[in-house]
Amino acid sequence: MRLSPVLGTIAAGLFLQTGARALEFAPDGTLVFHREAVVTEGFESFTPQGGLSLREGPEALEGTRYALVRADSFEQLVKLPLNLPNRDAAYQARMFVRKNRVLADVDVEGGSLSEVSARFYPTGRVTSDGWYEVETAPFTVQATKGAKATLSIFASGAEVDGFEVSMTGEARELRACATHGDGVCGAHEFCAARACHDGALGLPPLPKAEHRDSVVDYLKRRLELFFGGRYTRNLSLPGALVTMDRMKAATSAWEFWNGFATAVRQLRDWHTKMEGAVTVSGRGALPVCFVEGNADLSHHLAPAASSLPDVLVSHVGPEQNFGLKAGDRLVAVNGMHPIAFMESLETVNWDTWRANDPQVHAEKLENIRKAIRRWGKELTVIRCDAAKTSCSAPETFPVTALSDTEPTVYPNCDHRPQYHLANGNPDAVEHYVQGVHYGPLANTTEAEGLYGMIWDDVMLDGTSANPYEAAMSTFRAKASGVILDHRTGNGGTEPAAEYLTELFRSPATLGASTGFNFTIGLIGPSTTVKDALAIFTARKGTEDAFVVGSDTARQNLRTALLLARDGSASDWFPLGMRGAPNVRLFGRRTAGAFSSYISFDYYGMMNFRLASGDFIEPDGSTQLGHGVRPDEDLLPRQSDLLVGRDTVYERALAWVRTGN
Amino acid sequence: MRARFSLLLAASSALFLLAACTDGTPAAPSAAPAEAPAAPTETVAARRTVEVRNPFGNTAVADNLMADGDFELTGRYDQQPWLAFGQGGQSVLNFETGGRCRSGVRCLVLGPDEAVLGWMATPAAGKITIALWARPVGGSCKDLIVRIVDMDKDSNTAVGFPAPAEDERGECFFEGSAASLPGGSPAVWLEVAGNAKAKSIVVDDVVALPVAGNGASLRSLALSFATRAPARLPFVADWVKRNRRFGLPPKTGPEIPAPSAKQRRLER
Repeated sequence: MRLSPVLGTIAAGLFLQTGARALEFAPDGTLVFHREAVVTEGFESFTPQGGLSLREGPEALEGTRYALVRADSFEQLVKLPLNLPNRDAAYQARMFVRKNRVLADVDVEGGSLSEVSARFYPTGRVTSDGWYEVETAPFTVQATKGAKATLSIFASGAEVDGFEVSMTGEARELRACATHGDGVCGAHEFCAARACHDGALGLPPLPKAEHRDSVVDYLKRRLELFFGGRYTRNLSLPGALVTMDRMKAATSAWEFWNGFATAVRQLRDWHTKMEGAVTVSGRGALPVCFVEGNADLSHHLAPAASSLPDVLVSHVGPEQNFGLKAGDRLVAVNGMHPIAFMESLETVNWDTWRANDPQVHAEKLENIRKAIRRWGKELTVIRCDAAKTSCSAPETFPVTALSDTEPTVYPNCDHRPQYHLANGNPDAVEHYVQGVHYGPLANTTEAEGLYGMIWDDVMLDGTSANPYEAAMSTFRAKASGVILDHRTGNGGTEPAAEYLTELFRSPATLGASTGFNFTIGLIGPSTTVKDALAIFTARKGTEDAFVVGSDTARQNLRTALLLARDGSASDWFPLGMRGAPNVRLFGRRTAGAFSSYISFDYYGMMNFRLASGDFIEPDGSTQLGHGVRPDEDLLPRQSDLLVGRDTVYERALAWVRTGN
Repeated sequence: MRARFSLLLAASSALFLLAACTDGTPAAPSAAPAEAPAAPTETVAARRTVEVRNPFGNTAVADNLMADGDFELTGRYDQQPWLAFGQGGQSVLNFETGGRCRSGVRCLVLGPDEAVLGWMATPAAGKITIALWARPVGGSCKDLIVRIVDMDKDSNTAVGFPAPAEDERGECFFEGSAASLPGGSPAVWLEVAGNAKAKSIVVDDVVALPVAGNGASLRSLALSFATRAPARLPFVADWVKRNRRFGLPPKTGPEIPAPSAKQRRLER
C-alpha cells in the first residue's frame, strides 16, 4: 500500500469537525475518495500479491484499475498493512466490491484493547455496473500504544476498488468486566474474556429505521415457515418469536443481531445455530475435555445434583492443563453446576449448542472449556489421587489462575477417554478422529475374534468411496463380536445410517423422514397421530423411509454400540440398531435431532441454520426431541477415569465377551 | 497514487457532490457542482448511477414463501435455499451483484446448461402466486424456463410459466400461479433453455405468496400451464433425497476454506 503520509496528517486534523464520511461520486459517476480519508487505495499502482491481481478497464470506479481477489485458502489471504496516523482514534473502512462476496476484516494487533477485528458488510449502496459498498463499524486503533491495523480480504473471485479509511472519532478505551451480565458493559457491548467488546465489530449494521421492522418480520417468517418439527415448533418456537419482536426496538447492531442469534438459540435444536464473527479469543489456558460422569469418589465432598450428571475430566492436553487430569471433577463454574452455567449463556454465547432432548447435555460439555475461557469467573474443582483412589476437598479459584501461556495442543473433546484398537487408533493426545479406524480390539485374543470401529461421521454421498465397507467386510468375515465406538456422532446422510445397520440386523422399516417442513401447519403443535400416520403412509414407500438391516445380516454377531454425543443421522443409526437381537447400546441418550436443516448464509460468513422436518414412526409418533435411549445408560465413573479405565467400553467389552 | 493525492488536495475545498442517492429508486448523478475539479470540455455520459437499497434484500414482503427470494441469504453450496445442478450433481451457485440486480445487493446468475431450484413453503390448500424478475444477457425471455415442481413427486408434469416479452430495458417479469403442493417439497425450477442465445441470465426478487381458496387472479391463472417436467428433474430429485444432510454441515467448501490459524485459535 502506497499511502501518502501527508494525507494522513491532513485528514487527522479534519476529522473532529466532520465525523464519518462516505466515498463520494462525481457527477460523471467516477468515485472520489473522501478528502478526509486517511488511507486510500485505488489499485492504480499497486503491486499484485498472492491472491490479488489487477484488472484494467472502464469498469474501474476511479482511475483505470481495480483488483481481483481470488483465493483458495486462507494462506492466500490478501493482507494490506494500513498506515494510520500516529494517534489513538476510531476509524471506519469501506470499499466497493462486485461479482461476489468478500470476507474482509480490519484486524488490529497491539494496544491495550483485548482484540479488535472489524468485518465488512454491505451498506446497501450499489452502482448500476454491479459494484456494492461494504463497510466496517467504527474500530479503534491505539497507535500510540503500538497498535497496527491490517486489511485482510478473502474471496473466491471478487473485484475490489475504492478502498478508504476515515477517522470517525475518539478512540474507545478498554473496560474490564467480570462476566456476562455483570452490568459493566454497555447495551451495544458484550462481556467476554474479562473485557467489554464492541458488539458491532463482527456484525452487519443495524438495519436502517425504514427497513428494521420488515427485516425482523421477514426473518421471523423464515422461522415460522421452515423451522423444526412437532416438538420444537410446540415448545421452542413461540418463545423465540417473542424474542424476535424485541429486535424492533434495538438501538445498536449488537442488540439487533444478538437478539436474532438469541432467538435462534432459544429454538434449542441440535442443527439450529447462528454463526458469525462474534468470536473472541479465550483467556486462560484450559486444554481440558469434560464429559458427563458419575463422581463416585467425591459425592461425600460435593453431592450430585438431583437432575444433572456430574462433570468429570475425560482427557487433557500435555501442557498448561492446570494440573487437571482424567477423573478430576468440575463441580461448579461461577457457583453454578457446569451444565447450568452453559445454559445461563444463552443470550450471549454464539457457540451455544444443545441437543433437542432436554435430558441430553453432552453438547454443552463438549463446548464448556471454550465458555469457561470467555465467561468463567471462578471454577470449583475436586482433584483426586489415583494412587490413593481418593479425592481432596473442593477448591475454588479464579479463572485468572489459569496459565496465560497458550499450550500447543488443545485436544479434541470426543467423549472418548481412551481408544481400544490393538493397532491404528486415532492420536491419543490430540483425539481427532479422521475417517474410520477399525481392527482387532486391544488386549483380546485372535481366537476371541473381537473387533472394534471408531468413527464420527455417518456419511455416504453416493459419489465418494464407501469409507465403512472395508470394516464391514472384515467384521463379516472374521469377527465374533464388535464394539462400535460412536461416542462422537456428527451425523451425515440417511443412506449411511441405513448402510451401517446392514451387517447387524434383519430388514425393517422403522419410520420415515417428513422431508423439509414446507407445508404450512402440517407439522406442529396441532399435528395429531392421524396426521402423522398419513405422512408416514405417504412416505414409507419412498426414499424418505428409514429401511434398516439386510437379508444377509449376521444376526449372531454380538455387537455393542457406544454412544455419548450423537445427533441427526447419528440418531437414526442407533435407532436402527436398537432392539435388534445381539445388539446392545451402551452410554448416553442421543440428541433427538431427527431432522434435516436449511442453511441461510448472509454476508461475512454470518449464517443461520434452521432445522426443518421430523421423523415419524410407524405408530404415528414423532421422534424429534426424543433421543434414542441406550440399553444401558452408563456414565464414566470417576474411580475408573482416575486409573485409566474406560467405564463404558469395559462394560461393553464384558457384554460382548459373555452376553451378560 | 501521489498524483491523485495532489488532485485531492487541490480539490479539498471544492466538494464533489454525491451522486444522487435515493432509497430504492435508481438515480442519475446530480448536476455538476459549482466548483468542479476540472471542467469538462464536452458533455460526458455518466459512467454509472448510484442508489441505496436495503442490504438485506426485498424484505417488504415478509410472507414470501420462498426460503430466500432475494438471494441475500444464500451461499454458494451446502443445503441452501437455492441449489444449482450441473450434469453430475450439485454445482456451485453463481451470483451477480449491486445495481445489476433487481433488489438488494446479490442475485442469481444462470449460465448455459444450468438448472437451479429454490425451495418454497406451501399453504395446505389454495394456490400460490409467483413472480420473478429476470434479465437475459444477449438473449430473450424465452431463454429462461420457469417451472413449479414438487421434488417429492415422481411425476412427469410441472407447472410452467410462459415467457413474457422483454420490456424496453430487456427485462422479463415472469408471473403465474400454481396449486398448492401440501405434503410435498415445492420448488421453483429455473433452467436455461437448450437453444438459448443468452450468455447468462440474471434472476432476482422471486416472490411467492399464498392465495386463499381458489382466489388466484384470472390473469395469473392464465399465465401458467401444465407441462412436462424438466428432463433433469428425476435425477435432481433423487440426488437431493440421497444427499439430504442429517448432520453437521460440511466444514469446508466453496467460500468455506479450511479454517485459518486465527479461526482455530478462536474455536478453542
